[in-house]
Amino acid sequence: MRARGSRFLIVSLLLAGCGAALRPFPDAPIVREDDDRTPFGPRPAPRRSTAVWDAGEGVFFRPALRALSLEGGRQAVNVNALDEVPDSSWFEARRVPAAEMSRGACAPSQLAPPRPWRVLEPKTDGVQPGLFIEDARGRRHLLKTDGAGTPERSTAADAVGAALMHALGYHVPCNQVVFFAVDDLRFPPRLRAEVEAVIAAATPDARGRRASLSALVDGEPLGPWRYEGVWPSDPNDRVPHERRRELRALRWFFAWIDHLDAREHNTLMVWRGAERGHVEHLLIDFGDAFGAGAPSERRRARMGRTSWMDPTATAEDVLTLGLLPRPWFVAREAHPILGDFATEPFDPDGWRSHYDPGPFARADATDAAWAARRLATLTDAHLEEAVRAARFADPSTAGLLVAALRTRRDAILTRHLSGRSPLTSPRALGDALCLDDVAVRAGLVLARAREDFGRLRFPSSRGLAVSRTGERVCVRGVPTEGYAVVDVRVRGVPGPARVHLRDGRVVGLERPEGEAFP
Amino acid sequence: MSRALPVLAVLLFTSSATSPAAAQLRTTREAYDGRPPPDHTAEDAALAVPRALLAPFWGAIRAGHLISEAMLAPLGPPPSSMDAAEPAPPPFEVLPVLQLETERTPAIGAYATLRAAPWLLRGTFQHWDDRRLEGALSIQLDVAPRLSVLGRGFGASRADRIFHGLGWDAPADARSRYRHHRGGGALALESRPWRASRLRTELAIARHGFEGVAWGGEPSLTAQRASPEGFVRGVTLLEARFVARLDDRGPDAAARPGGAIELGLTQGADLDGGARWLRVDATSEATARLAPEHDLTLGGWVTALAPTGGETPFVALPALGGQPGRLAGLLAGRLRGETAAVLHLRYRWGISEWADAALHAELGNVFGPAFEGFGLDRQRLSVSMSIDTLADDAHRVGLIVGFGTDPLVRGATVREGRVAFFIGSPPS
Repeated sequence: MRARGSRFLIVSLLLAGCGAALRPFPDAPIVREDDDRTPFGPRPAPRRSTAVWDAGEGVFFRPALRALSLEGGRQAVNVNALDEVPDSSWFEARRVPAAEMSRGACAPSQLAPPRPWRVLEPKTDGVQPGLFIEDARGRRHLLKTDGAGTPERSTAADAVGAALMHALGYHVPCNQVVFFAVDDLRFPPRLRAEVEAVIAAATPDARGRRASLSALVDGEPLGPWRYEGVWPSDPNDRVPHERRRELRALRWFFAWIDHLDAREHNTLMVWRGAERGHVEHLLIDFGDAFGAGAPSERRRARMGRTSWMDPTATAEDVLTLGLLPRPWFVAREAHPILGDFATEPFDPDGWRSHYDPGPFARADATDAAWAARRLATLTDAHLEEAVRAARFADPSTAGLLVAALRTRRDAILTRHLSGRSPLTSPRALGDALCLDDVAVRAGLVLARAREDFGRLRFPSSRGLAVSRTGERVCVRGVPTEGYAVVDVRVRGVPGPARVHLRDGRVVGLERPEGEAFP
Repeated sequence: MSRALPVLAVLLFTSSATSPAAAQLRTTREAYDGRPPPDHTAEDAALAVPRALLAPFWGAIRAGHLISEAMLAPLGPPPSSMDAAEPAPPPFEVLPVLQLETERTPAIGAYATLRAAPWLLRGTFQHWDDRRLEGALSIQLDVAPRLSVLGRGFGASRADRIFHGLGWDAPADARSRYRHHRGGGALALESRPWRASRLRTELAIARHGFEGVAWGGEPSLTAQRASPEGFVRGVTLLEARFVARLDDRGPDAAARPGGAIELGLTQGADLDGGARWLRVDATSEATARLAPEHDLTLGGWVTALAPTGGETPFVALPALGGQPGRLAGLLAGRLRGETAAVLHLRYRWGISEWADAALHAELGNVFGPAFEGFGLDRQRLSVSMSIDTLADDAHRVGLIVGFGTDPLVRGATVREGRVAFFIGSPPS
């Protein structure tokens, strides 16, 4: 141990003398899983929160406290040595095959719940009517309909939004679009009025009456989680939520699907276990995605382009009598189902949720680049399959939605895979070091248009031979003994992928800053 | 030195031989990627003084944050597996009320709403020491999708009322103060047959009492002049009102182009003094959209009160001031007369997702019976700017800044201004 420590000190001193501040990685396994599911007990009392409180906190308290604390650019905490987020009760770096996208988080056995459906009780809150039902297998679901005058919109958003967020790695419920007949519902006479309201609100077509079905998640609900701080009742919850990278990156994922309603009430903590257990963290209810949540033409024009409270823009508009050109002052034609989601110009960094829940404002370029790398795992085929979950009556609507998702995804990738290196998954094979170019994998650029460079930075400085096969980029001549640092760079991207190796093993990856984050 | 610190940190890290993979409950970036954090000494040092200076402000807001959380968050619903997600009006709300207005007593209070379909109850309470105490309770019963029965009871005592005299030429500097006590109730039936159109029938009764009070260096009404009709004895007003409004706009009519006309008929009586009167109100407005969120509205309001017996109490007379469309640059109740007319031009534009700003230019005045003394040169000009949220009274936040002039024939001199800020309903 003393020999290792001494060697590490020598390496550190030598790296520190390399001009740029190179910080070595220790000889330790990469953290791929965060052990935040350690059982504890008893089950904590549920957390309560009101929408008014959440809005007040998001609009006033959080921005004010953040501004006054001068906290500076604090980076995300839960980032491992490969610049990735370990799996946890919040996130799982899953890879969903394209063919499985349409079922989202649903297990095959959860699809098409067998009928009849027994109505248990009406949904008591929310603006749309709904029912809690139990299918013929005894599984419970929440059945919701589309809003008045907006056929297919909310139900499609709920199912497709959940499928996409599931594929990106978040824990979500099993949401699906279903069609039912009036005879499928079994209910006691006392619930007749509520059931009839749901039936009346469910859009009918040749397949039946349309609704979205959300399977009740396993475990005891503990209320919404907060976007800031930790929950003291959960001893496993130790990383402040605003410093969790997967929550910071939600800013770009929500921008992608235009999920403006980033309130804590669209989140859920669930207790998994009995006497002892752990807390699982979910995102729920995507019915407001794809511009579906706009209650009026006026709000639709602003949604996503400005937040509820934007003091700078408001002051400018007051003082200039509204004469400054603004994107929300431009008339746009709205699609009857997708609103202007499918037609609006999309600026990933200009997108705004209703109010910043906390992590969004703190997200930096490294979080954005991570979001882009996650997003790049979803190919066009993934998108097409995910949109199948919407079960639109008119196939052209699905085509429009796929095209919009593709365009918006590519806008995020173009922006954030060009500022930080898109090279990922480093692995050493003898004296070769290979990485994958996620921008090529996503079809953003052609492999033959790429020009790559390799350079050994430590222990000596020299060029390395580079070869590329499709998305895979390899450099040769990497030292197989001692500590080594290798830069692999793609032309056009300012910063390299900086790989740290120890005795021929990858121990770390950095993506140094290439350009200032706006 | 700054470069040596991280090296030292690395040394300390390695000497402790802590494996990040083995660490339980990681809380730092170092525990995840194995490296001590980069050196931020210089940044922290530079921010130390500003942070210290801002600390009291941070502390004050943080205290408010914690208090509001303790008060509001526990009111949330019990957690559900998935349906606590949609923004729906909560069944019970209590929201703050604040009114600040120049030359008036401020008010703080609360506005409570209880929804239990088809019932809707609202209560409001506001006060400011012994000079202002107001409360109201209203109930709405939706008997059919577009038909409601409304009831309202209220009581108030305000010592900041201003009386400027009656008629078009009431001067700005000859004003006096009085306290106004009132209490009463109303019952109405309202139908909303089409878009924002409505038909409303209402019966209201209210007891008004008055007393002269000096306020802010201004004389009491009783000390300065002859009291207006009904002031000394107080009055009990019984009014039957019918209002018909044809409005081709949607529910959020204020934010849409279109037009409206409204006609109101009121039969009133003073049960104490025996006076009777008939009042007619006519309103029209048309809004054109210049661009999204940019509207121009031209509107007018004419009202005439005709006594049918006795002398009408002054509080029953048409009044101007205090709100857009009624010379918003003047205080509420600034002008009183048997008749009134106002021409209103409004330019309105969006300033946020939930708020509009508007410029109001208004020309109008009050006059004698049957518009006696009416003349274009006797109009007053009011120019004001308002900021208001697109919300119901419980959730409104607004600001009004404006001024009003003497009648044109008197030189249209600007002598009066008004600034008001409110949370809840605007000052009246």
